[in-house]
Amino acid sequence: MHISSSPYLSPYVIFILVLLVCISWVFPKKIAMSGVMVLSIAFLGYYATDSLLILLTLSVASYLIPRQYSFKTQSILVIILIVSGVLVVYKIATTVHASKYIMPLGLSFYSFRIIHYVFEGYKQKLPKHTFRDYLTYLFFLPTFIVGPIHRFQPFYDDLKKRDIKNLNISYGLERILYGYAKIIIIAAYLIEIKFLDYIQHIKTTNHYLYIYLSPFAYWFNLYFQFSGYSDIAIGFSRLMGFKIMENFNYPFLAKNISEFWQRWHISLSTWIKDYVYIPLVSLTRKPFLSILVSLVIFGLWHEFSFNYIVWGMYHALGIAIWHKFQYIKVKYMAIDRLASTKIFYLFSVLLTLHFVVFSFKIRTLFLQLLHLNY
Amino acid sequence: MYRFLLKKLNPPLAKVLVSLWYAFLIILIILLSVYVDKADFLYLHL
Repeated sequence: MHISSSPYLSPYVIFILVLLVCISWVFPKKIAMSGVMVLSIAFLGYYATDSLLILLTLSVASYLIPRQYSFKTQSILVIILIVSGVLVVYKIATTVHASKYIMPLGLSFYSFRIIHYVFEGYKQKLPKHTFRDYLTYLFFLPTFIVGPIHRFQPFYDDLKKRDIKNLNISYGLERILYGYAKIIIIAAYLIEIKFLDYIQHIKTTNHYLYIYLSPFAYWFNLYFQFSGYSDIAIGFSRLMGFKIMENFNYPFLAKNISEFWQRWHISLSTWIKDYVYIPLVSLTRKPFLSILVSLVIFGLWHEFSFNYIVWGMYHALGIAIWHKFQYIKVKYMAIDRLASTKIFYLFSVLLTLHFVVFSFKIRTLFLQLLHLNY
Repeated sequence: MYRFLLKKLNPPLAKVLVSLWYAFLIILIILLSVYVDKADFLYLHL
């Protein structure tokens, strides 16, 4: 059974999630979430034993080592190096030898949760908790495989205060339904079948329109699938009494590229802002360099390749141009007035949409111009 | 959805409409998942 690419389309994952929801409410409150954690670990152990061993080792190390040294800088750096090292090695191995190596289940999300945890420990912002609470957070099955990369503090608050409420149940079920509607009705049927059929149909008759529409099909499909998975994860979490952070906020309606990154994969972009951008700006006092590094890491998180480095640089350049435009707006009143009109707003949304949708095409053209083997 | 409808309609009508909307979505998801060959998650092997 392959559950990593589309976990919520696997009957086994759905069955286990429903079982976890039942356990979280039927068992006595003190042991309910421990039961959820043990069953989640057992499930992962059954389907991905190697992944579980790696993840458990990282969990134990990231809990014990910083505590041994009272969350001192060196101990935090050691954990960050170990966790990001394991992630990078697997990212490279799965990029170079895709057929030979398989990424441990949920490692990309899991490792970022661990780094967040040790960082917060370093800042002394973690509430008093046990190793059991930490494992419950890390192995929380609804968000384990495809995110969101939720934070420990709000999770811990919910863990201690969660309660059955009608509103939580109805909201959770509604989000799950909308998640499946996005994945099946919009992504799989309307985009993958109807829209792609149309695109294939015009390939010979109108080649330019075909080239123009193809990236839209890719990005819209990606968005509806991924936000559908996030909806299902948020829905199942809510059924267990946990409020998990949102991952998308209508990203294609963003009016500039900076806003786009505040609306797309929010849990990852806020993670990068908190643990890459802000520390880098504090250290270097160079905002553009920090944005560049942040977006390159954003790209590398998806795939460890030169392609994604260029893709990250392309987006960083977009943000730099947008910042430059903000200065120009302040300097010239006429431009500022124009920028506040409704037509300019519409133009900004369309420009941002095209900037994002054609990012892969422009990156490929750039690499071809440099005669690089992409 | 229900709370949105409550702003415009009376509660019984809002309940009927929201139930019909959910039923419509569920039926559409079941039918289309079979059509696009992704019905495994519903344990439908048609």
